[in-house]
Amino acid sequence: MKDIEFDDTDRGILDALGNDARMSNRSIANLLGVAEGTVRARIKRLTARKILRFTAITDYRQHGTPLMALVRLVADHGKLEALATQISDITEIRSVIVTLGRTNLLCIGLFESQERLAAVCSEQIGILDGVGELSISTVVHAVKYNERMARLRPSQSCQP
Amino acid sequence: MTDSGSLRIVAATDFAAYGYNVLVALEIKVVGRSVQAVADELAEFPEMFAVHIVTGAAQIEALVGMHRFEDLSETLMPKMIKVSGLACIEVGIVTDIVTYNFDVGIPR
Repeated sequence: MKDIEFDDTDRGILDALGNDARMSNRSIANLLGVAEGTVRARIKRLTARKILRFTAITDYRQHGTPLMALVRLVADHGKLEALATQISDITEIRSVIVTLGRTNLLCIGLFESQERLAAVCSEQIGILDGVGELSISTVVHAVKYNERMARLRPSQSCQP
Repeated sequence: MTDSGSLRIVAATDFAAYGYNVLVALEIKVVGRSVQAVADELAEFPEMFAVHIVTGAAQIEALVGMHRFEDLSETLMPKMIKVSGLACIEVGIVTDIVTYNFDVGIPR
């Protein structure tokens, strides 16, 4: 991510929109003391570079998928990339994260029921070549979730 | 829907835009204290991007964002050791995010 270069105007725009995503370009321009056209151009550039994205966040319970679950896997390192891609294609899976630790794949999904969660884990994930230990945790309370920060850019190492 | 909080318009920024180059997933076991109280205390830390109370061997799953690895020892750990009830923490250093869909969030 060292290819990302920002100046104070970019940072100011991200901060302003982070506090209020519906803030107008004119308001941001007034706040930062720059021209409205500058704000418009910077937002366009930040969006094109996949650093900024406007999105509508909905309560997950409205999707008919009230169960959020985290599935951790101990997977064969040689098959990790292929497994991550295969699991990403499963409809219920929202995020797939590769980790270094006791487990090496963290999959987060939304499921319509405990039965569906069990079926996905046993019939779609557990049978994949390279999957070893599999553990499931279901979310009973989401205490904090900062949706302002996300991975918007294409898959790549988190380390510089 | 926006008034009720069931729909929010968000300007999401890539982790790296704010220099969060190190992401760590934590599995936390709690002993001798309310899990909710521990989760609430951890959620106060700005480094905690997500804190969930879960079923399973660990009771809390958390995602931590830091600028550099040194922040673990210099910033986060000094704060975490003051949180009572933390029995065991399994650490997973995030090396790649293959998919990250965040358009479904939690109610406020």
